[in-house]
Amino acid sequence: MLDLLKKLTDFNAPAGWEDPIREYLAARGGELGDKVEVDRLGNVHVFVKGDVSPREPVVITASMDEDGVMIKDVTDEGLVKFGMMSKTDVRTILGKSVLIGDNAIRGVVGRKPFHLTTAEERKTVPGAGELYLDIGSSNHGGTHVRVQKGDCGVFYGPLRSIGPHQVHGKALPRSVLIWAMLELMEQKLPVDTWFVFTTAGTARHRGAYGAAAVRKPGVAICLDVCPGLDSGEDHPLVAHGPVVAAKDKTVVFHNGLRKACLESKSKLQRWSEIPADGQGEMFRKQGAKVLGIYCPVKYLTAPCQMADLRDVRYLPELMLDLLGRLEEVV
Amino acid sequence: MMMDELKTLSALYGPSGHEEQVAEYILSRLAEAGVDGVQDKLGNVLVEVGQGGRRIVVTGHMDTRGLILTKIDEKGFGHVSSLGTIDAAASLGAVVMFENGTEAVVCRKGSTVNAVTDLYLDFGAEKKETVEEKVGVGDMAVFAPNFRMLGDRAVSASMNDRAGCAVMLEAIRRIKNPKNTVLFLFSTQDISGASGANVGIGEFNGEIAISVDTTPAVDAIGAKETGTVRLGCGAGIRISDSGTQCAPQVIRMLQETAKASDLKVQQDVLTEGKLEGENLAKAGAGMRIGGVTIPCRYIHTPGEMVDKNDMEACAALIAALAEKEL
Repeated sequence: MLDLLKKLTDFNAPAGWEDPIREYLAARGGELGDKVEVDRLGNVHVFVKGDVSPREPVVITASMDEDGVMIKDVTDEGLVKFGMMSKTDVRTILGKSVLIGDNAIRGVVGRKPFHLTTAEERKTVPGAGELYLDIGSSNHGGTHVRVQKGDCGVFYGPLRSIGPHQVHGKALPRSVLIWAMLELMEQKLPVDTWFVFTTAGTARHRGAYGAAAVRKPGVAICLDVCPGLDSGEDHPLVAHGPVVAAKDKTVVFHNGLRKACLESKSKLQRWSEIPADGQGEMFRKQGAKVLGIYCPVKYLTAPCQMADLRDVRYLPELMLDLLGRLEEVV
Repeated sequence: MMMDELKTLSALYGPSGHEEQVAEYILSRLAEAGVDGVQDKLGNVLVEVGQGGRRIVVTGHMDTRGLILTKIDEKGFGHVSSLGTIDAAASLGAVVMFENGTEAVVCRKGSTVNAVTDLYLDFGAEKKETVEEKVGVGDMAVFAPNFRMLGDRAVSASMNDRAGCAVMLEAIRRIKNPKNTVLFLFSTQDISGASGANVGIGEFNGEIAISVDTTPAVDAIGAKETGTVRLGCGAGIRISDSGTQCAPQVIRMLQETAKASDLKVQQDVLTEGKLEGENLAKAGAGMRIGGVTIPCRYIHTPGEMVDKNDMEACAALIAALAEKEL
């Protein structure tokens, strides 16, 4: 499990630049599935034959991209100005390493040294515009030959174990969900299923528009992550299983699918509303009955996140159970 | 007949995404009227009336606002968030019901109510386990049936948009000699924003879309001046709202139809709130948008009030439009 999670984490794939992981998923999909398609938006669709062929396609979907930064300018001093490509919390990125472009040029997020800041500046959190990437070059020309406007970067954060059950690393939202989908693809499925890995999930799920239009499924099970905590009542908890919610920000999930999921013997957490957009809206607009299933992840808006492997392992178990009940509910 | 239907419709459980009971009732009423209604895979109910002429979509939503159970505490009290905008302060003391009929009363946590999260549900239970036997986190509640006729005015929860559904049913019955092709679409999930109507339109290839919905009346004491319509002053013809500038051609078409049929109408300009029009404008190859609106006092509360004569005017206007050569 850790080897595959590490492999999935190591791909550098900000929204729109998913080529490396797309190639991997298409190849792996070819080994595990019966048919592979890549649509014009770059979404990977893998068909896996099951015991029963439903009247309308059944889709399980998750995004394959990760948080990133976009290079905006290079200063005369060779420092790199950048903007955020996703919802990463700027407060958490100072001093973090970034890999830029196809050649994975290493940079570090910097700011005016603390001892040179004014008392007023110390009271506020700097925005992305006040930060820069330092790639170890001291002039514009030296930086410009390695990094240019429009290049994208991702945060550096190889997967590592923390304690007996948890892992820490970059791109964990993508890695844990895709791990669960690949794991499920290796099982004997009760129903024909399309596994759809979508692009631009961090850019308001743009890829899902195309994927939903291509498949026009009857049922869409949308996998995503949600903020997880170790204790408390305001958010789902890590190590308590996947989260089955009643709705997200825009879609009320299908009542029958939700009830069938809640009846599963697999460990899960019952939740009311996940206050975020998801792929569900796009699939619903194509007429699908939608259910969102979430993996709780800690530090979601930081460059590196933390997940509990027990939650991740329960995901394919829960989905397999749900696939087996689809005929009863739709 | 329309007000009897409204009484039944307003009592049905149907928060956004859970419109099954409403759809079933509408289909049964259509069948009694000798009209074939069909349901698509998202639960939208569709009825096509007439052939030829202009292709018009008339849509109203079946779902209502509600409360979502977010937590059941140790004492058996239910904590909630809202499904769609709800007037939290006005909900205090109301009874809500869940899909399985479980009821609870809406109470407040402190001395003031600024948001739905300041409310909680009292199930009359002594402990968490008793409540959990009946309902769970994520389950949705709507205001319990409380329909009353006060003279010509009906008051109840869920008038938004069961009043629109009743108007559409009445309009379908009134159409005798259609000159246009009209798709009546009773839609799902309008309030949650996912708009089942977009899916329901499907391959219809409509030219014009007319939303039938309630709209805030501004003639109550202290009502915010966010609109223009008054109760009992006729059907509203939507001019604009915060999501849509209605097509001048459709506004004119509705005004001329009302004049020709001697129907009482009023201009409806709303600065806060919107119809399904914003979504419908983008459906298919795009449609010209209009709205026929039902003035409603105390909107988004357990006691929404509409006027029977306004509803009659709305139904007559839609029927007349279907029978007019455009």
